[in-house]
Amino acid sequence: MIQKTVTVNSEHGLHARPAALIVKAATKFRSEFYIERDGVKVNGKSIMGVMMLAAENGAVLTLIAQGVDAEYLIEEVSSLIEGGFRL
Amino acid sequence: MMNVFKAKSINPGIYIGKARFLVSKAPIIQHDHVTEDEAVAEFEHLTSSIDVALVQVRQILTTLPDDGQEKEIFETQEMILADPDILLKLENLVLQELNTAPSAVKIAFDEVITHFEGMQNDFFASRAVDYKDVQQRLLDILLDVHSEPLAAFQPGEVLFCLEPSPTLISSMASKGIGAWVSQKGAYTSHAAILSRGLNIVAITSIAELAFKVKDGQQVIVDATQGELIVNPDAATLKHYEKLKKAMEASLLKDQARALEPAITSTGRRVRINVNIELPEEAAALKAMGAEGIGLFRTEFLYLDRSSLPDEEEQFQIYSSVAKDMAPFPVTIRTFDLGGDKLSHLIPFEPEENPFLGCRGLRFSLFRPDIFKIQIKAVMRAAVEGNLQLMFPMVNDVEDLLEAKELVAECSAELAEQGIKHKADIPIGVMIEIPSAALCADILASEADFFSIGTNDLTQYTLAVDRNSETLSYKYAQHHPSVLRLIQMVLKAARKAGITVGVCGEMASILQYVPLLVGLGLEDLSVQPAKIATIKSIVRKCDLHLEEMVQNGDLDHLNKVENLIYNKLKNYYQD
Repeated sequence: MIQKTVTVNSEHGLHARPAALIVKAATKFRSEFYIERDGVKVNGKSIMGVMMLAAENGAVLTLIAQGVDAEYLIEEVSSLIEGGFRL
Repeated sequence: MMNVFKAKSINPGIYIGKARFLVSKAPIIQHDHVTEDEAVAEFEHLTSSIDVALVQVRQILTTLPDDGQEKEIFETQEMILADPDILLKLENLVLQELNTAPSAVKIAFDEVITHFEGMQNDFFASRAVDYKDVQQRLLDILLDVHSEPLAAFQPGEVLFCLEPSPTLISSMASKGIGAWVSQKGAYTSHAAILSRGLNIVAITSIAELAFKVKDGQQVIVDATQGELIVNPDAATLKHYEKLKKAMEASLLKDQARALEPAITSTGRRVRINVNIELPEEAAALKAMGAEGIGLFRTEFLYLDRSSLPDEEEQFQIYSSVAKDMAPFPVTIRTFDLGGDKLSHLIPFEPEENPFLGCRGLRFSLFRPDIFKIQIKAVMRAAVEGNLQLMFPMVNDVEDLLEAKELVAECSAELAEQGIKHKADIPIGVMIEIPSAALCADILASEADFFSIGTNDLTQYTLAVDRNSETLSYKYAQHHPSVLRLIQMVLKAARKAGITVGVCGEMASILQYVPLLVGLGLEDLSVQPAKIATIKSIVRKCDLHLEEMVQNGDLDHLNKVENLIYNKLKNYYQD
């Protein structure tokens, strides 16, 4: 299992578009993927789950992945979040 | 038995018809169960309905422009339909708990919707709508309902609903349904604005509506008084039929001359412009007799969305409105909100008193990067039609000069890139802060036109919050202090040779029109539905009126009220 703590770095937090980008990125990998915030843990491959975190700009999230490609998943998703979703 | 319920008016008027509720299919779903043997087939039925929904959404996506807000909405819906957690939830509800497919969709999505609606952050809470849309789409497919929401409606019926959507309002107009009544709804919602533009009679804020009215009952929607009358008795019905006929007759008479200019009997021409909030409103305005758009509010560009509008998007909108209205002028008022309304887009420290805070032009000068995008878009679109630029919340000439500096900067940057634009676009000031009115003579030397925003001018002059219910009796737009400021602005504008109009609500309130004309205003910007009526009031204005206003006692509130409600009554009443 791989964990990484990231801080949301986009003006309007994880609203629809960033949430969609996270889910799209995570879904490419085979590993299980969860995001935890303040004790609430959601499936990072579910747009409903990610949006339910209602994570504003500056929110601290723990990314958790388990599986063969967990390392790559975490790297891709964390750089997406930390980079402010600029592609 | 006749019943009368109080309501809030969204668009005044009277409408008589039979009630019909917009069937929200949700309540008719019976929470039936299936047997264990049927469950697998039921779940397959559900997954194939999800596939149908996905095909529908992808079909819609192919018709949408890239990068648009709509595209984002449907892409989110696509992902919701493919969401593994939602599928798991549905699977559990059908296979384990043996719910029917529609029942499972209802339970699963209701749970998510309730969760979103309970969120503290409004921006996230508003996302509940995505799940409502997907839920409705799935239920429509499962229950094989025709997706045309007004299929069951007959022309002349009154639509009852919880809260109407803008799409619904446009389809109402084409179906000949002239009124709606809702349980919830705000005066400033998009649905309300469109209703006023399309002249659909509307009232809102009646609690537990479904318990008060049944389909097929006769109702009178009195959106002038703010009442809903259910099962009217013969005498009431007769009274309203007469009232409605009289209103229609006088409107018809006014409309017959709507396209002609409004000239007083003393030969003064008063230009009747309109205020609009959405670009969709522009197309019909010329045919309604509008002689320009005196106030195009641009706040819609920034609200209910997740990213700031870019120059190209704004350019497209401004040029389409300019073309719709050409050759008449369109005044684009730059963004008029504070950072509080934009906190979902831009980090902003909450203010203790936003009405006295960083809003309007102040915000624009605080964030020139955002402001310049809008200015450039307007300057570019001004090549395609007759556009002018107007700044809200101008304190003094220093504000105006700073803004004009940015306009010059934008022009230089556009010129450098070889982009066509109107460098000498007319620049106007919205007079809505007492300081601007008091120094109007100084401002006039730097402005091409003035437009008086009476709502805020009244609020700031009297220090009365215009949304306060307790103080609403004190919020008088005809207060002597406000009238004096209007007179000062008029005088300053005349001396400088620039035009001055009123774009505040005051110009759309029929009782105030003779007073404003008598004061010497030459430009009124009004609600679209009022154009014809206001033009006919202007035509009645004569020398006697001008004398009454010019020589009348405007120093005391009660005397002003006597003037408006007694002496000038014949001018605005038939």
